[in-house]
Amino acid sequence: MIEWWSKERIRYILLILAVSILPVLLFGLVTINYSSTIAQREAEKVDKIIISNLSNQTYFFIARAQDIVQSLAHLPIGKIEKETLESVYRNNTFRDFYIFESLILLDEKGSVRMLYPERKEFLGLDYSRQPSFRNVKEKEKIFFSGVEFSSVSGQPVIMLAVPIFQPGFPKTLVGVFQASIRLQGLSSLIKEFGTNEKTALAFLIGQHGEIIAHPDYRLVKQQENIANAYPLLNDKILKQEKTEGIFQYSSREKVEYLVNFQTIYPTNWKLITRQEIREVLVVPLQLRSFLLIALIFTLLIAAGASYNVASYLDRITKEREKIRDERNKEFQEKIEALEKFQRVTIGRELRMIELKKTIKELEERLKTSKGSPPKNNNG
Amino acid sequence: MAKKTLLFLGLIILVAIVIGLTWGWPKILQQEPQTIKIGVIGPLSGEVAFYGAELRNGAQLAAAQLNEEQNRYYYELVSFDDEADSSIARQRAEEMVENREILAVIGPAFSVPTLSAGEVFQKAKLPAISPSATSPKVTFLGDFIFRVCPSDSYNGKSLGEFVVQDLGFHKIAILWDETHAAYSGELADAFTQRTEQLGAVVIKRLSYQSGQTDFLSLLQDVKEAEPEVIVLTGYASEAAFIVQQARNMGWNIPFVGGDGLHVNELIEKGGEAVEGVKMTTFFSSDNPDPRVQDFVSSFRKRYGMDPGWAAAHSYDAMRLINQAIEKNGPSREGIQKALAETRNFQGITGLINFDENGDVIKDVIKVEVKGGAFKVLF
Repeated sequence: MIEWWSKERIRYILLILAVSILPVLLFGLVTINYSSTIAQREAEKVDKIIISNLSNQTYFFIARAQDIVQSLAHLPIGKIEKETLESVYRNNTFRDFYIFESLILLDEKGSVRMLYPERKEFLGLDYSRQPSFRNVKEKEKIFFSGVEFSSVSGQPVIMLAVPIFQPGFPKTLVGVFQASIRLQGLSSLIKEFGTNEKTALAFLIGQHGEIIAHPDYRLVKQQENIANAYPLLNDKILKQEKTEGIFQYSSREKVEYLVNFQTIYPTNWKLITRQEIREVLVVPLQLRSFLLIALIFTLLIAAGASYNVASYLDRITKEREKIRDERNKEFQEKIEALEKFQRVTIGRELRMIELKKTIKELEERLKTSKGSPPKNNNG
Repeated sequence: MAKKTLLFLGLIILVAIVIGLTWGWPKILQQEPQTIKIGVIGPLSGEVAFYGAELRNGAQLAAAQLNEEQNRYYYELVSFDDEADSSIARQRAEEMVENREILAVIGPAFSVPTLSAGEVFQKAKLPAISPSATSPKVTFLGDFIFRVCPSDSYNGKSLGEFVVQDLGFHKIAILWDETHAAYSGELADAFTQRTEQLGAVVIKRLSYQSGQTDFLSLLQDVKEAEPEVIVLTGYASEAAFIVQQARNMGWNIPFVGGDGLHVNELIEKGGEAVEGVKMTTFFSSDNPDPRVQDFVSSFRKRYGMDPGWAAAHSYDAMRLINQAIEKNGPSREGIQKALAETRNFQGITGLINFDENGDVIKDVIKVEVKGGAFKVLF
């Protein structure tokens, strides 16, 4: 009989528990895997919110600069004064940075007619070979340059050039308004979103992959290109056919990333956010690890308990077999003794029966002989 | 029954072996390439960051192509910004030397930083190839310092021959950049020496500062000396202002310059005024050689712009380092030895050989601004 505190009972309990926990753990794992997908989707949603927020602010920054320069370009060219440029320069900031590095009015041949900040030696210089003037002159529409580095401040800028048409004659170009737009504010904006290299990264690239805004401002200052800084990411982005989207990629160090990108018009810049997948799925992955460890332990306990129970049952069976054999032997001996006794007793009985039969025959013969004199067998 | 069990077990073991082998097979075949770190140093910020970015981009393009072409080594470039300053360049050089993973260096770009960083590289026996430091003093830094552009003494000599023999000028004025004296001053010296040997006279030699934009009084001073030509031994940014302001003065004097003028900035900032400006240089994207055109189109595709000579030279420098590693293995000493033994390396900037001082032996090319672009003069 097994007592309630006995080892055997504990073994049985462990085995039953392990076997009962197993399906729970398996179910847990499946659930966690599913929740990983949900967590990833949630991260993608958050990414989308961040990217749309950033891209909106970037777009409005550019649109604002464009509006200001376009409104200047709508003024009759003869009425633009130095004070107007100074006022535009001083009254427009983005995140504590002046939006404009310089404002330059060029005549129809590309000569510098007026500029702010004012530098007399620039007046009359020929800017006709600058891509911004050339593009506006040829296409007669607004032009955004790639990122350039200001020879005045050394900071990254883009050139925005807007055509000035003769009032009433929309096809007669009389000049070009050229503004150099500072991009430091965009890096400040991106940095403020709390993005960093470890958990998440947001950055802005120009048409040719040049890094325009980045939490690590050195990359911008050093005129770094995505093709150099994030070559595998660049390859993936180049393969994307859409102007926005989400994809995963693995870096050379085998780190999995979730990437979200969006094109910003009219500059054709791309805003990119990137975060490590393991950071996105940190809670589900931790839970999954915990469940996996628990599952392994349970399996080990179940295996150990099963082995023990099996050994115990085996031992019990052997003991029972031994007892059975002993009992069989005893029984056999008793049968043999009984058979021997039987042989003895039954033999005597048969003899008695035979003797009785003989006596009875003799008595019969004796009766018969009393009616007639017996024959003298002797003579 | 026992036979059947054994057969079943044997089958399972066989399947396991087959799966195990096929699982591991691709990993055995696709052996991970060995990562080789190459330092790149140049002015990545400041007024002349353009040159540093070009230098880095040229080397990065070569590294990316090499990583695709072969699977033995993976080249990883580590960038350092020397801000074109000699003391910062020395600090960066010390950082590079301490990083034992860095096996070779491309840079610095300018002569003054190369002289200070070069001392550190030489002392620590870290091989360095400067794509664009042209000062003759670089020649004597030591056997671990190489360069893929000719020295100023060689350039100055070629520029002198171009101005006097090819263009026929004999009364010459020189404007040079005092801020970058190690390049501009040395070039002016070598030029003066050669032109005087050829019977020409330098009648005026004046200097200016880097970043200066007003050259009117300087030009007035030169004009009074009535030279036949002005030779500019500085960089494009200032040269564009000088030429424009001379033209605005109504002075149509010819301008000739060195390799420092051969960047798009000259044309963009100089406008039509720089039409006809001639210069000697080391690389032109107009070169019809298919190797050059391949490089130009790859560079354009990757960075959206045309490569300048700094990019072309650093591209060659990276490929030279790769050749050295393939020859002697990935070690600082091995790379130096292989570089010193370089014979007839076909780069995109021409055939490269090093003399006993690590100086390159190659011809210069002559270029003129024509129709808003650089055109090679044959």
